[in-house]
Amino acid sequence: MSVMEDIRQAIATSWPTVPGADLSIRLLEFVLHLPEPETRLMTMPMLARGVGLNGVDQNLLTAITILVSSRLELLQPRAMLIEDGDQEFEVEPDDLSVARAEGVLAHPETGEPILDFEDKLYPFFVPTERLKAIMQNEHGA
Amino acid sequence: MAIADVASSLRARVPWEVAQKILEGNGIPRGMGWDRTIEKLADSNDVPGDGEGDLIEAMREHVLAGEKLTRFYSMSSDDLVALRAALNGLTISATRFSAAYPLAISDADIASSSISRPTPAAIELNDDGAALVFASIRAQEVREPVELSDDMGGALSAYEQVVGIRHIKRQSMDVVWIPREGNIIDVRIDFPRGMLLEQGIFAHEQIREQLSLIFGQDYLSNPVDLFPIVDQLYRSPRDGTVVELAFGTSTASLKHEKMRRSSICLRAETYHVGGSAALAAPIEPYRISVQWEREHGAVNSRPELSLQGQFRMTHLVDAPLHEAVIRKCLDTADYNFVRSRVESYMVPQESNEAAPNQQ
Repeated sequence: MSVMEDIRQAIATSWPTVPGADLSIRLLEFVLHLPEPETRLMTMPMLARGVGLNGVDQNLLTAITILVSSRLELLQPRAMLIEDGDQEFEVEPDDLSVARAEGVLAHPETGEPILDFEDKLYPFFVPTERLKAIMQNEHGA
Repeated sequence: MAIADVASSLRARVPWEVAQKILEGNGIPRGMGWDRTIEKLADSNDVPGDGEGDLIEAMREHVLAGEKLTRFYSMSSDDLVALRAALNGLTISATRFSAAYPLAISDADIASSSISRPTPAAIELNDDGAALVFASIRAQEVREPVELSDDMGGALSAYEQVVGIRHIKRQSMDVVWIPREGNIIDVRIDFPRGMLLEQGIFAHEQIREQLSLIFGQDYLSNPVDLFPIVDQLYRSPRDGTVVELAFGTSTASLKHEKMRRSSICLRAETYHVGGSAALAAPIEPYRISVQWEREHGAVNSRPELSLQGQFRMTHLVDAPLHEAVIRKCLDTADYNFVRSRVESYMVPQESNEAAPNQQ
């Protein structure tokens, strides 16, 4: 059985009645066929457009959650801090975990606590090593 | 002196993303942000025995190398000999700055001080050369959003956001570096984020004036034009990672590109390559920021060089760029590396071919 068939079966088995499950397959196929440089910062609007949606909706969120899940581990979530003036800072996963546990995120420049930091983060996604390996097989074939 | 006090001096000048690496590299415990880190240092039994010394040394390194607006000067051999001799004969007067060096004077002292001209605070000598360190109190303009409240009256009701301007005082540490070898000296102005370029240029003129007064000769009248390096650096694909680029195209547009994730070079980014390839004539870069990955034992740094030219410099003969912004250096080794990259482009093109393969 091919890797994609494995994945389809896993999704059908683990999320049989979930509305976003079918979308997760389409989403995966979209990402799989992207050139590597275009997988470095996949935002939700980008993924929505990639699967033909007008915007980010609950089904897309479910589809992404499925691909991020520990059962599949195909996408990993990251976070970008965005400030007034559109300045952006990537927040490392470890720092974000600590920030959420302690309730405070330090500004990367000033080291001062950022009020309501969750409101200033936007998520993006990158392929996991597992997905990269699948992509390499697909692109190299 | 408590290690927490030293950390407070670092806090005033070191960006948090750099400070974290300094703390981690020295095995010093840290928390989420400065407040929690300084609390930890005050309470912790986990601070290594030489932790305070390590942080003081880190402070010295950052005074010499951290967050600088730099000008370079090509000197004659005679002038260099004279300058080195004059520096050797210089005595630093006892001042509150020299007494506190390499740390800053207290926040209370800074707040109660007037804005001051740079005065010599220290001389640093090592195998590579000599640094004359100047200290001063400068004001930096800070713009902050102001929370609108009901009692502010109707005058502000038409606005969604109000921005307030205030001036905060900082102790600035500027450096004149005279290497033991070579004929390029450089002057490094403290250039924290948010400081205006015009303020930095004014500070350079202040150092020029002070040096003239001290040594009786104006050595800093002719800074090197760095603008040609923008294009040379862009066209050196093995030299660092381009994270920001502004350029003009032969199709009459101006572009400003930034990479949003580190370690990916704009020179090779798909959209940039495709767009450039579609043109018959080469693009004309006028602004560039480059980072290099460097190892420091357990931590890595990404020192950054920015040459922030303007488009008119691609057309005008007499429109030089004198200032380089050098940021995110952990120490003088990082700064000297960036300096060496800049200097390598100041020589004839033939000797530039061995750019280091350090991404």
